[in-house]
Order: sequence, then C-alpha cells, then structure tokens
Amino acid sequence: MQLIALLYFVFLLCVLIACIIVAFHLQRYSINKKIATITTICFIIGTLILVTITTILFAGIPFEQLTQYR
Amino acid sequence: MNNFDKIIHSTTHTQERTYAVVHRHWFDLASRFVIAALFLILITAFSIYAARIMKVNGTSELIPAIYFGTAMLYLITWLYSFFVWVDYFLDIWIITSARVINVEQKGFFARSTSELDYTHIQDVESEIQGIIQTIFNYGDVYVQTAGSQGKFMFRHVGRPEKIKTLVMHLNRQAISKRAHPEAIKKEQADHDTAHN
Repeated sequence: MQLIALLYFVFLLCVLIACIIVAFHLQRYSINKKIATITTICFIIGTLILVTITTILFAGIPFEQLTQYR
Repeated sequence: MNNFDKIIHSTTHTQERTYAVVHRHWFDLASRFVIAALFLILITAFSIYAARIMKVNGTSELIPAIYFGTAMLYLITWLYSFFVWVDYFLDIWIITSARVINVEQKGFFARSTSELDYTHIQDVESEIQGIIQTIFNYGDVYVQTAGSQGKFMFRHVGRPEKIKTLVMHLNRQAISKRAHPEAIKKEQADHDTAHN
C-alpha cells in the first residue's frame, strides 16, 4: 500500500513538473501572449480537475481487499 | 517588449515590416489530437467493458482500480495533448521585408532560431504531397540558399504556393534594391519623413 502510494506521489510529481514546463514554454516563448495566457489557464484548470479526480479515485481503491486476490 | 518584438528586433534591420507569421497547418495538429481522442475512446470503452465483466464475475472490488487507471491515462493523454500544442504553437516562420525567420521548438529542451536573408536565396520550391495535403491545401516550401546554408524549409504550412510567391517576390525586391542602392536611400528618406 505504502509503495503504491509512493509511486502515485512520484507520478503526481512528474505531472507537476510537466505542468511547469508547459506553462513556462507557453509564457516564455509564445509570440501571442493572449493565446498563450488562455491556453495556460485552460491547461492548469484541466490538469487540476484531472489530478483531483485521480486522487479521489486513488483514495477509493480498497487496497486491503485487493491484497486478498494475491 | 513581447516575444515577437524580441525576435523581430534581435538584429538591426531598419524599416522592417512583417508580412506573415506562419504556423504549421491546423490539420497537422488536428491529426495528432484525433489520435489522442481515439485513444481516450478506446480506454473508456475498455474500462466500461472491464467493469461489466468484473460485476458479472463477482470481483467488483477491482472496479475502483480500473477507474483510477483510466483517470490516470486521461491525465497522461491531457498532458500529451498540451505537449503537442506547445510544439505546434511555438514552431513559427516569420516573413518580413528583410528576412525569413524560423523559430523551431525541438521537444522541450531544444529550440533553434535561424534567419535567412533574401539576397542569399537561389530557388524556392513548394510541394504538396498526397490526397490529404491536396484536399486541405498544405505542404512544404523549400528555399534553396547559396553557400553552406543549404535548404530552408517551411514544413506543413497552409497555402504553400502563396508563401512561395511571397518569398520570391521579396527575393526579387531585395536583389533589385541591392542593384540600385539609391532606391534604399530614397526609401529611408521617405520613411524618415513619414515618421518626423
């Protein structure tokens, strides 16, 4: 259980790094600031929603019951 | 100063006018988004099917894990879509009155900016290949340059014929200006008068 939680935490960390990279590139290198800002906002909102859903679903996994299937 | 100004005014070209800012054709982006959408449909169908099978088999405890896996794949696909968007959005060609600038994003940690002076152009060629490119009117434009610079390429751009015509027109203009430097002086004087 702890190992899976750790792996999920690493996954979330990778998502966070990917988010920072995308947002940084859009803001730093875009020649159209308006489109870049709209895209960055959409990206961050979408990512936050998906991360929240994923975390809720992760919390709902019955790990104790799953271990019985081993 | 925004990024566009930083690129355009990176060198000292006086009276430089921007004629076109070209991205790759939207179909190039859409085709990659369609692949991502198909993948999402496939994993959604799989998770629904797997959940039904598990209910039938009496192993419904596994269903949350299947949904979690699906949500994770949604998140990965979402990130991939934005990687594709950034790659598309940051790849640009800027055609100005003095030069062609190519800003190319190669992945996330490599980026190159090159520029081509019109006087170095030897030949311009446009190429539309295949049924999709013919229907959507997009393709490549190759600019053959003198010396070691080799070929300068506009990849998967919309209306390549129009871009080719514009580049050739600006090339002829640049050659004519070089042959008649007094025309440049006159234009500079006109520009100064207009701005004073």
